[in-house]
Amino acid sequence: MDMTPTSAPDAITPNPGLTVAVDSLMQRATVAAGIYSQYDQAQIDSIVEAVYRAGFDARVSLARMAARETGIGRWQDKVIKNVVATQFVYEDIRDLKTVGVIREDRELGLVEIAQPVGPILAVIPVTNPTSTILFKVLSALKTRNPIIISPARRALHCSVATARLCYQAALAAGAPEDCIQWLESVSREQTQALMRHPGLALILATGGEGLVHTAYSSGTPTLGVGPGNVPVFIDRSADLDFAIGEICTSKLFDYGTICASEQAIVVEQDLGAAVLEAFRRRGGHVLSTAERQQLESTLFDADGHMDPEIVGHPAEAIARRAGLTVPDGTTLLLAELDGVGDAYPLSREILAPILAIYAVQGFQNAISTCLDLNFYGGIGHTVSLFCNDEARIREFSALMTAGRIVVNMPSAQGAVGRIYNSLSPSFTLGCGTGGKNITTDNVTARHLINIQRIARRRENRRFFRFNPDLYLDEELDSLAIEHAYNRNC
Amino acid sequence: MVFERPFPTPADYAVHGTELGLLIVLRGRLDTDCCSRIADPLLLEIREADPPVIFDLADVSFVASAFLRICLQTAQLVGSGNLHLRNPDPSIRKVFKIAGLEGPIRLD
Repeated sequence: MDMTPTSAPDAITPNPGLTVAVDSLMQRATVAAGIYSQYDQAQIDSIVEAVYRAGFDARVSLARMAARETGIGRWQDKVIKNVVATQFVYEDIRDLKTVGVIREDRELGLVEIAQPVGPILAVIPVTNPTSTILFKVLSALKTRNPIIISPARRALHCSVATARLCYQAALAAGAPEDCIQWLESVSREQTQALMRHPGLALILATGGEGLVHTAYSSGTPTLGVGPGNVPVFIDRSADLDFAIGEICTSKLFDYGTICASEQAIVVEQDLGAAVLEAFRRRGGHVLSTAERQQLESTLFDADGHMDPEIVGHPAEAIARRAGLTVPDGTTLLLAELDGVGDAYPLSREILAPILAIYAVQGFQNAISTCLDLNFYGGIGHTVSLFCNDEARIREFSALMTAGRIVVNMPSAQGAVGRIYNSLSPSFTLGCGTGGKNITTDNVTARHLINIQRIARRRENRRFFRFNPDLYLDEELDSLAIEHAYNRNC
Repeated sequence: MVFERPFPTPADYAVHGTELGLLIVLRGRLDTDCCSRIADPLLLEIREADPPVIFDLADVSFVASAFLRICLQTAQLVGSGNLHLRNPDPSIRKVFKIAGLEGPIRLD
């Protein structure tokens, strides 16, 4: 078998050769799946540890490469992302049983056996390329699934370097050939052909709405993500200065590229001035109405499409691009808004250091504003709350529609998990049905196994003691049947 | 024309002609029984009024699907975008968002 883990470059062109190339990739993945299915837990764990160590040791070089190639974010923050994707993910899955019997209940007569799902296609976003690959590769290897990496066009080289590094480490630890493959060049046609391929078992789709929708439309089971638009409510019971500090920690992280980062701050009106002042102390620049309008016209075209060049860029660069003069050291651009929706472009999700600020009358209106933001493009994703009043935390949480409601912590790092809470570390954040996803979980290796259950005979004695002819008697209502069914005699 | 018409019963509605339009203040639980009682007279008032129509829901604690029907009938009568729901409790605001009625009905 060909040891080269990549697809041949001439196979990427949109012609019959494409089908051959995709078939070839899938054939190799399918063979790898078969071989890998024979591995036991100890072998798997040894491979996963080897890949974790290789990925972790390359965390800085991969982060620098990603920042340089994409021009998005800060390499220092991408190092932290790589740490989460390796060290924290490894800690989370290290002791997870993923081979053979993973649970047994003798009393109930149930045995659960883990089976791999089969070849996985991993679609990788430009905003977090190396970390997402590290996370998905570790999750796939832990579950004995071969994985094919489909990089983002603007993150091709760092993605290929990451995948190759993982593959070499996996092979050296005894993993089967082709357990990790990747596309050497990016072609929408090829990715879509892979998505539709009958040999593919699952798509891990992390990216924009269009891409996730394409994955779902392929007919292959997909674990996808949804868009975010994260509101943050700072309650009067919160420590305001602490809250603003935490929000800055999150929103400035990698210049706001994590989809769970804060998009809008909501406070009661009398706290508005203090909030703005706290942001100013941290380099926040509050836009005048004219500046806000100028920024809006730069960020969005007439059809409302956002300028992709501002994603993951520092506030000063964005201000310059918009022709605004802001003080040296400006870290955040803040826009005071009084509405949510298409008429207020800055109320949308913007993956850059730009925040909307809402100062509203009373707690109920604050919840309503958060609800509006939550439903304006962010259903099912993440909401954030700074609050020390348990009743208000419960009331707020009951009304929001979000897979993650993070309390008193930076939203971006909080949603990704493990640093500030006990959520599973993940770079694929499920958004539930509201976000057109099947789960609200932080997707992990746990989602990449088929669990088959051996069910031993454990008779339901009440059923066998019960006279089934009674079910045929239309005169007997549910209460009469229940009485007879549950009667001790 | 500015006028006042108080609540006929404790759980019904009051009508105010205002400069902004016809303001209808509702309160209590707008369940199926209540809505079946108020639907006809309410829609009659609306039919005779000029848009926009404003439902003030500040004192409403629950809405049944019958009330959503009243809202949709009202929106049909006054035209899309001319029915405003003012001061809904967040839980009621969420009902309209989940039901996807934002658009024909404006949540203020």
